[in-house]
Amino acid sequence: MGGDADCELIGAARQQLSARLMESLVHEARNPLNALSINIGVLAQKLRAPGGAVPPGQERNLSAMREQIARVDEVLKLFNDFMSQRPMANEVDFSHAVDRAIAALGHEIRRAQVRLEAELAGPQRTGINWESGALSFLAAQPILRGLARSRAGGAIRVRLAGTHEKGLTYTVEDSGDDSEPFDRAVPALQRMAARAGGAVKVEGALFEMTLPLAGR
Amino acid sequence: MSGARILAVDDEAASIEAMAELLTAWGHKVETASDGHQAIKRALEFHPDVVLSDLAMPESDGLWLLRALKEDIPDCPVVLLTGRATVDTAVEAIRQGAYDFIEKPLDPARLKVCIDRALEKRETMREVQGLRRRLKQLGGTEFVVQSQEMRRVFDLIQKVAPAKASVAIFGESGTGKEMVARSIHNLSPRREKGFIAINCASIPATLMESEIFGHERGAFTGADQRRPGVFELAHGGTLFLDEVGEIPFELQAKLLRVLEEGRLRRVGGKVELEVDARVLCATNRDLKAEVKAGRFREDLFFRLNVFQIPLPPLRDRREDIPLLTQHFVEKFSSESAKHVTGVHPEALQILKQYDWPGNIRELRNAVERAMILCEGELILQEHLPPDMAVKSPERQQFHTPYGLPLDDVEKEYILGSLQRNNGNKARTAESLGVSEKTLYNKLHRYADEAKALQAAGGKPETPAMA
Repeated sequence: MGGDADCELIGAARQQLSARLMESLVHEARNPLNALSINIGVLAQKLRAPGGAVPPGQERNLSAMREQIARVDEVLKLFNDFMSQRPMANEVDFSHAVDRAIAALGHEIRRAQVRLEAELAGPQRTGINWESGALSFLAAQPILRGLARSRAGGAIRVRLAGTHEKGLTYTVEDSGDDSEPFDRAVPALQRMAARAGGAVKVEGALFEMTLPLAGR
Repeated sequence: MSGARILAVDDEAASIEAMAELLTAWGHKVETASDGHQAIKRALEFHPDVVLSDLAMPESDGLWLLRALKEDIPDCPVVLLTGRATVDTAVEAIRQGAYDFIEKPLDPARLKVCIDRALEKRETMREVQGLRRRLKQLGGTEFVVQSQEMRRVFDLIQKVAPAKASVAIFGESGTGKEMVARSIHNLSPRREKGFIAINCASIPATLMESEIFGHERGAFTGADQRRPGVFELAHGGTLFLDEVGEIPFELQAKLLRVLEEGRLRRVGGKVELEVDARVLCATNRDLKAEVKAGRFREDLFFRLNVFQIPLPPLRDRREDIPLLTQHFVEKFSSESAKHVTGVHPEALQILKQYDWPGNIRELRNAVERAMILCEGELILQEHLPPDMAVKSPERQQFHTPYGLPLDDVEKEYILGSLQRNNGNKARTAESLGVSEKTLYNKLHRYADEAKALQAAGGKPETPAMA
């Protein structure tokens, strides 16, 4: 394996591949979900009394199945959105990206047994024009850093605010120690923020990123 | 809304089977296809009211199918289903003419609403097309029934209308055969669908096959686009073939096959299409004689002649003339700025006594002409066409003994006509169908002959010309 540049290239290629595979996964998974959903519709039709409704006991089971299908579909949609690499408009709502990142990392947060507190002043529109995958990376990596630093029972506090003076400020504060596990991710975040006219500051438990607000 | 014809298209066997079962349970007639090419073939045979198609299919996808359907059955709403829910795809599908766009996994309730709306749209489009067609085709007479003869005809119409049987309408030209056909259609369960009428006598023999059965693009020189025939246009409704005896013998076998099997192939086409059109026909030819002469297929004759409605000529139902005349007066009065309210009894008497070789069509034209000339409230004798306006029972006949030279017969006839028109040469020329100059020349010749005869000591036959 070569140096940092090679690693970054490989990382970018992996991310691209993951996004495509995720799209395929959604498509493949939605076909059986679709067949299930239609079959539930057929079943409901068969259970329906002539001219009436499905008996309540059976309707509960059907509803539960519909809810589970919808739940799986929501998860697929969330990950697909999170990983997709679609071009974005010139102005994006960063609070939406953070919200989506928290949802996508929900299982990681629960597995780490960490409490996450979010205080998002939204919508916060920023004038960056990256594709959606980069935006997800920008929103999720600071949370992943906090998770890696935190111990079970710890907490992560995510805040997003916008002021005329500082612009958009995204902070992730954790209750971890002084270790720095994501040595490659932080420089990448710093470069991305700088390119957008912002900055990243990392001081132990505090990660702070500023980005220009849209129209400034 | 149920009872629609739905074509469901998906390459996923598990989904399409369940979909067909669900749609059938909702009361629809369902056909399925597993790719775009198969779907287009099924659609042409099945005539769906709505097409539900998956967007992503391996061979020919939903957008390909959408474009093909827009070309072949443009008024059929297409609903696309997709597992890849991106706004871009939805926008593209709608931009290309999809009626709606539903994400997988399907919510049956949402699907039902979508199908009902698509069917409503389809129905509205059909109603609009039907109204347009009716407005275009109307303009003939409405059914005016007073005489016993026409009451019998109307009874037959009411009896045969609900059936699917072919009906042959016989009658002289202008007796209202198309109006009878339209009445059968309007009283039949097919009234909500189209009534297509064509006059086979007005179509060149070379174009008749394409007109009746349609053609594919490139089927012959000049066929630059696919065109449905009248059978397809009348699908679900009624097809009226006027002057059916004019259909060339070689096409009669193809027509018989459509009537018997309900399937046809367009000119230059490869697929057979399912058609469901009730066929009514009319002719003023003696089809039995045509069969005997070998110009009309006997099997087609029997297939078309399941039920006959003979229409009496107007001269055999003179009691209908006052009512029909008043009907036309009111019709033309409402279409013009005239304030004509009726017909003077003397003029009506003339109308009732006339023989009407052109039947109702001739009566209609006579009333229209009179309305143009009439300045008052009532149509008078002078407003009627000259050859009927001066007629009275004792002056309508032209008798001449056999053995006269043809020139003398002509002379008798011309002079008699002049007398009937009170010496009015313009009106006489018009009634004889010759120019005034021709009439003058002939009258001058008769006058010269009379003078020559007088000079020779004979008795002149013709009074001197004014």
